Amino acid sequence: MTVRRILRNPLAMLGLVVVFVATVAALLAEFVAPFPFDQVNFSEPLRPPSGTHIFGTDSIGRDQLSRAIFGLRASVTVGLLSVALSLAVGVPLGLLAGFYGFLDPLVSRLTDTALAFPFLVLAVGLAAILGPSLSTAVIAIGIAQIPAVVRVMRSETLRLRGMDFVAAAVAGGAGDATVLLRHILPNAVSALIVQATVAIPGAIIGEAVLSFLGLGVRPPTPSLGVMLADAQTFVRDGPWMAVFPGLTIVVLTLALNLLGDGLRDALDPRESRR
Amino acid sequence: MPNTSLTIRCATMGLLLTACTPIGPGETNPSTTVDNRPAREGGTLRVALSAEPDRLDPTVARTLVGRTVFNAICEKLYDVDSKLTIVPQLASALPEFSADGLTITIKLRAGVKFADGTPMDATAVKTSLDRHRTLPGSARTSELTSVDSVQVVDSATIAIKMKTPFAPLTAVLADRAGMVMSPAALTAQGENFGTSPVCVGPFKFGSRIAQDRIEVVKDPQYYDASKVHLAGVTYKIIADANTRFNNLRSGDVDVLDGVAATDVDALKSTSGLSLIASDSLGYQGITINLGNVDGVGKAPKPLSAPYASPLATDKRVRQAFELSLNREAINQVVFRGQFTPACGPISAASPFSSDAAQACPKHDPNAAKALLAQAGLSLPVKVSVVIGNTPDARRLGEAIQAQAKEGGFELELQPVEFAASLTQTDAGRYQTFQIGWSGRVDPDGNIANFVRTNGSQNISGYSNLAVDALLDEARRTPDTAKRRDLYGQVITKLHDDVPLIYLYRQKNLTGASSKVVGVQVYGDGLLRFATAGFAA
Amino acid sequence: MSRYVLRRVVESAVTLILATIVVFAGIRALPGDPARTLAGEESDPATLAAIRATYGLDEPLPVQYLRYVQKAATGDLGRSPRTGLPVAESIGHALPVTLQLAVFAIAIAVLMGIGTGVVAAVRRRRPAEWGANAIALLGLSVPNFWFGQMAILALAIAYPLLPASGFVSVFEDPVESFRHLLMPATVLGTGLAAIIMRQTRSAMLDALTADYVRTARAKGLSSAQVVLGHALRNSLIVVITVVGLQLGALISGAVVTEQLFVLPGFGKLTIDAVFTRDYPMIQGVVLVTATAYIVINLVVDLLYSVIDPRIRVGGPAL
Repeated sequence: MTVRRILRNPLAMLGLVVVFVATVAALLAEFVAPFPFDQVNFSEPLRPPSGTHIFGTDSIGRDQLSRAIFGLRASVTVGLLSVALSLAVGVPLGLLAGFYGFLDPLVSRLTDTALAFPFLVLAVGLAAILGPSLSTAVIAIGIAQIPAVVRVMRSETLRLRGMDFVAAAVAGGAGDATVLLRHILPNAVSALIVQATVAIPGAIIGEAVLSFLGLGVRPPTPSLGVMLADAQTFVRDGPWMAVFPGLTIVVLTLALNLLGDGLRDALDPRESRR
Repeated sequence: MPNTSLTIRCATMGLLLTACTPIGPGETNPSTTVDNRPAREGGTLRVALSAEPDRLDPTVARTLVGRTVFNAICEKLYDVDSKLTIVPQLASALPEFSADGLTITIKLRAGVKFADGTPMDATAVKTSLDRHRTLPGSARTSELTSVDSVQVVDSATIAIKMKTPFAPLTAVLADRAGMVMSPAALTAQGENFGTSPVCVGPFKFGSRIAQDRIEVVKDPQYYDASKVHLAGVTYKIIADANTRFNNLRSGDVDVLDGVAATDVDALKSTSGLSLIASDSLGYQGITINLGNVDGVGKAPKPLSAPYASPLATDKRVRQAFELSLNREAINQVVFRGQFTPACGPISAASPFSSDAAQACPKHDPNAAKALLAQAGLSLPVKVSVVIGNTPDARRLGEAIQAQAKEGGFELELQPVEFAASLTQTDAGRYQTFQIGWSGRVDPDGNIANFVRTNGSQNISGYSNLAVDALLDEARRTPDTAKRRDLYGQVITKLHDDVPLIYLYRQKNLTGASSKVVGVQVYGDGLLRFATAGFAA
Repeated sequence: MSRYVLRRVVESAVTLILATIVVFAGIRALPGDPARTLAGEESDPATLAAIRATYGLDEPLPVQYLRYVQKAATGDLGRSPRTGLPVAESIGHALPVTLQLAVFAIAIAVLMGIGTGVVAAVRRRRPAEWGANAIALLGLSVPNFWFGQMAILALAIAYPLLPASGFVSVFEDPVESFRHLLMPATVLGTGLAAIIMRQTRSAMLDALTADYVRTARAKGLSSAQVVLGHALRNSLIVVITVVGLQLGALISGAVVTEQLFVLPGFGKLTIDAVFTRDYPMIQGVVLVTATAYIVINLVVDLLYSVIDPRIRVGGPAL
């Protein structure tokens, strides 16, 4: 059902193909990339795109295509892990807050507090404590996304709790755990998937912003954000350094968003009525 | 070195200098022009600064960029000229040292008024010096620590009594410690003096908006007001180098402080813009942790994991590290050849420079590997480097990493956010640290605190009694030639011990619109606008 | 009803107090000593101790916190130890910049978002929808610092049509203000436009299938009348909510835009304060951000409960 609806949506299919190709490239970066990402060549700095270096070289002569492919790996990792982190923490909190009224004020105040806190202050703080690295970026972005997950999960739980089939399960003597895990959670999955499809591209851009501010992965490991930050300095002498990593991010997040939209249309029961 | 000699020539070329283009290797010098167009009266000069100055209070101010703003509004007892020689400014002559070096007499320029109209006299100088020395939180205390007391001899003369002879004092008085503040304003404003400072200067403080701008306006009370052409200067704070440069190109600012090395070529090729360049007095390098266990200023001890490294225990390993680095390539690749490779703490433009001070170990990765083998180490030798988290710092780190690899080292780069890196390295929690120093006119300020045993900035934990003795002797010696020789000996010892590896000297790169004439930038990197103006 | 209002107000106050405590303790937990940052290049331990004593940084945390709260309650947010300027004054300069930028960005976002959203909903499963979708998706997919950099290169350098940077207040010179803010507001607004587009689209889809719209169609109203007169009007409430929820995020999220276009705004003030460990300034900006966010949320919640007492807003705020 769902799969067929996605297959019928050409944009979503395009998104799926791009995301698939990008993920494979990221996973197999060692085999796909023409050069090692840290191979410095002082005699070939700032070379424009050519047959050997399709994306050109950077200021210390490294192949930009190879760095973009490895950078894809960092971006995809941050995207997936940070969203996984936010789901792992946010879903239980949202379930409990929505199901047990007495927990609601506590959880809601905590999410409000977190939301009232500027994301970048949090990220800089974490980077200062943990040192800039990939895991710092994952944690900072993941934590920043928790409140949104809690809110979605909580409102879904509130909605589902009032539904007849849940009431029936409770009347049938099902325990809280059963109701939460067997009846409420599965029915909230589509809302969560929608949330995740917004969050993953958001996290990828978040990683770019953090790297731009110097809080991303450790050198010489590349990420697309680091490449863009490096390109800042050479925007006149080596515009390709900014153009290609930028386009890579745009294409990847665009594909993710297209896929997400397709999934949303396919999963959302309200949409399927039409 | 052709670059350096040219820089000196640029700097000496004089007062109306607005454009002085440095030449790269093999390049002819196309446009070293002495600009003698007359300036018209009036106009407000818009200047882009690269960072936000801290408090505009000479007693507590610490930033380099703040000194540029002070240059317009707060004159000092002494100043440097284009050759970095110390000349009187608010003083009327160079200081007279007593034979034992313990009494220093300074005569003041007559008839000088503060921007608030009150007279600048010996009492004002004493008030300022005493405030510099004793105000809690003063940043000047350590510079003036050898001063015992300040006495008013007559209204135009002060005598400074010293605890110990300290030859660098004149240079100290040519910086913020020599700035004289209006006692009336100090009384009125107390600790908030910095929010509207009142000193003597071609301009006086107008207004300030945090993160955005500082405005100064021409001071009619200024003793040389007839030579001041501008109606005022607006300093705009623009942190991003690209944006700063774009502002200069679009005409949104007239003068740009801190042109990025990567923008120099573009600037030179843009018509209507010119570049003023001079070697800075500071340096950038890698400090190696030799024995900083209990924090900076404490007695060195043997390091333990994870901060111990073969570098700390064997000077041959440090020498090998230095040999593996190619300064010329770093300059070419990371800074597009715009900076000056450096091997020591004294700028070649300084009157204290000598052959010994400029001596340099040659890049030789094979010799580096041989030294490592002698030291009995198996390759690669692993070392971690704390670097900043800006793209520039990362690029430098990556270049060093690639070079050190050929010399048998495997570097792990540890980017750390700036505020955290200072605390971390002060405490000794690092193996090596890429850091620099903005530079002072007197070499003592560029060397002593960093390498003297238990020195206040000796984060390396380096200790060599022979070096200490030479530095102390240089402090006691007023004669420039003798001090030059002493610092040469210090640097020779530093090259043997390698507590820090000097890598390059930044250039003070200032961009200016050709509408502007008379901007002066000396080796100290400060922008001087006293006689600047818009071309008539 | 009034009990609900009272409860929400109390909850908001609790959130605000929590936020100040978290900030206060949080920034002090960061490595990086503000005294060391203040000392600049110097690292003499005696100097650092003197600086700490001057700014009361050597006292126990609860004492520092209570002193801060006491002063903040009277409107005194302290002075920045770095610049010596009063925090409230700096915020007073920075906030209007960001507010004008945010309002402009929201205006652009609403125009773009509603336009594309309506097209996407009305021209469903047709190239027009895909086109509108693609435009909105681009808004979500382009990192705004990259977009900003490209915009500066194109519109300020290659074809110098707009100023590369700087701020002019709309109250001083509306035309110059427009020219200075057009690029940054567009850069900041595109992400929001995409969110609005999606909300508009789905709200419109709901509305278009609702009974009253069918009735309207049955009455013989034209498509345009139905869409603009009925469905869109009923979708606007959702859009207003989204905008309300995003305002807080916009204010604190404008950091990169402000950095790129050198706008002396609130985001830049915030990030610089964090990087320099300017405690009073961080506390001040977070207090203001948190207050703004909480008040906006409270107002949206209360408005909603007036319009539809069954609903309590719980949607995600990105």
